[in-house]
Amino acid sequence: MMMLNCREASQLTSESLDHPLSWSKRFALRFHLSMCKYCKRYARQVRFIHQIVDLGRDELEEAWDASGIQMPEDAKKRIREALH
Amino acid sequence: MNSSQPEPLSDPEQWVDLHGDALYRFALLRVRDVHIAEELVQETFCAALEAKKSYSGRSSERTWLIGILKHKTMDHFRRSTRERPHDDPDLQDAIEENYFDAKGRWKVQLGEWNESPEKVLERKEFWSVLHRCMDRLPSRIGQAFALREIDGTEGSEVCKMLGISSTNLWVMMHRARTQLRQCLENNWFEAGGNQP
Repeated sequence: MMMLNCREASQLTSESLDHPLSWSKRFALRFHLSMCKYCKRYARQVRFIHQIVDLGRDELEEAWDASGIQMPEDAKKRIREALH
Repeated sequence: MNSSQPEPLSDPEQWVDLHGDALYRFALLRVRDVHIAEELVQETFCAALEAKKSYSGRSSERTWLIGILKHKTMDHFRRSTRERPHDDPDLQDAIEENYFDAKGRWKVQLGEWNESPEKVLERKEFWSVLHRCMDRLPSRIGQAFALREIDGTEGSEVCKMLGISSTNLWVMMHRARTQLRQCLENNWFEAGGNQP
């Protein structure tokens, strides 16, 4: 069986959110997580981030809109002129 | 009012005032570069001006403009991958140095997060903390994260847009998640942001 260190285990944890892992990688990851407190936390927490962005897409966009970020005035002026 | 009648477009002279900031924010969230965001907004308005006649009125003016901006953003990514070297060999090293020791063990102590996603979803402040954390990601990694997680773009599509291999995308996403995790821990979970 593949023995993973924490860097490899966290990499595979992240990868598993993007594509299905092979059987042997999944097995090696599960084994590592069963013994490693920090990697288990890492796995829970990145899944948490993944889930919250997925559930809160609208809130995320709203918060961004509410941030008050505006296009700089000189850029607006330039665009107004270009549209003329 | 007859609802089947399309809403006419407003005067293009007013577009910058009506929609400029909203389009700018949309672009900035994805390209993470103020100058590129400005350029994309300008391109969008110019394209919209030319395509005025094709506006069906079925969606709002804002939605129509955002649609054009999405295309312009994708075009920008595709264009810029041709001008840039592809995979970044330093990426793996950066993760290595900041978070792991030479043997691949954690260098940082990961804290316990005692909060459910449902709870966090209710807290408006959380999202501005997340935005600030995303701001600190290196720009290419921030782009990959925004495309993949915020827009839900397929991984293979993100690879095409950024001109990278799938392995490189996974490394970039790993870097993004590891850095965001740490930033959220420092600025939300341990900073008492989760306290009522």
